[in-house]
Amino acid sequence: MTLIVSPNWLACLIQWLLEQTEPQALADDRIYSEWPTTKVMPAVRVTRLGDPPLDANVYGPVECLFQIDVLGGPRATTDLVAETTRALLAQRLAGAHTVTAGAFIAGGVTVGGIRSGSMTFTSQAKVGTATTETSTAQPHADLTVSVTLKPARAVVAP
Amino acid sequence: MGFVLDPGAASAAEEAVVDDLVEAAEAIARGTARRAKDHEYSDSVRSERMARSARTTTDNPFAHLDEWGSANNPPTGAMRGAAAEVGRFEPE
Repeated sequence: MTLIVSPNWLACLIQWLLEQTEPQALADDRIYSEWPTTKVMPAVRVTRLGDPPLDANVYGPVECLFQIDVLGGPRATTDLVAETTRALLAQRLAGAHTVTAGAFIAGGVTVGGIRSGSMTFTSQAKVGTATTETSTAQPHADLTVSVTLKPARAVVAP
Repeated sequence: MGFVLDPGAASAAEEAVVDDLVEAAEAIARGTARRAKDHEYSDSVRSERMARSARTTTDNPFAHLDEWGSANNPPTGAMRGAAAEVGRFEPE
């Protein structure tokens, strides 16, 4: 009997975001699942909050909930990266995609509001190059996105 | 003479809906308590019946650090995750 196993949804979303040209232009491909020790700003972190199955009787489609954090400024840049990420999710994520983590179909993308604030963290790099341990506050923005995801068969080139 | 709706029917139906909402709010509270990393957040979650709805709340001043994360702690999304598990959750 075939066992359906979902791909790593967090890896799927991060890899899909990395494939888009806009985050590359704005955050230079700094989209992570955990903040790195040396923080170069701005940076984006994606966290998977949960993925309850859409239908209790069917294994496959899930309603996946993600939180996107944007760290590093100036303030306008932080908000621009958050808004660009939200726009990408809302306008381009729906559909069939194939990334290294797996092939998936996304639908029912519901994006939430962007919260703007600041976050204090201890870093080995203040902004980019400093090597001493330093504690600093940075602009921060986050948003929640809910996506219906299901595994798809990988697209095989003819 | 027109049809007059039983005046008690509407309020009975509403009551039944509120009962379901209370059940959902209780399930969200249980789910939040299970998912939260900070036990003080877990212990502070309450659900309550409102006039025509139900709600799940916390009065813990540090709950946002658990729910939304901080510099050194990834977010648990405890309440949002529990809400998504119980039904359709549309982030605001």
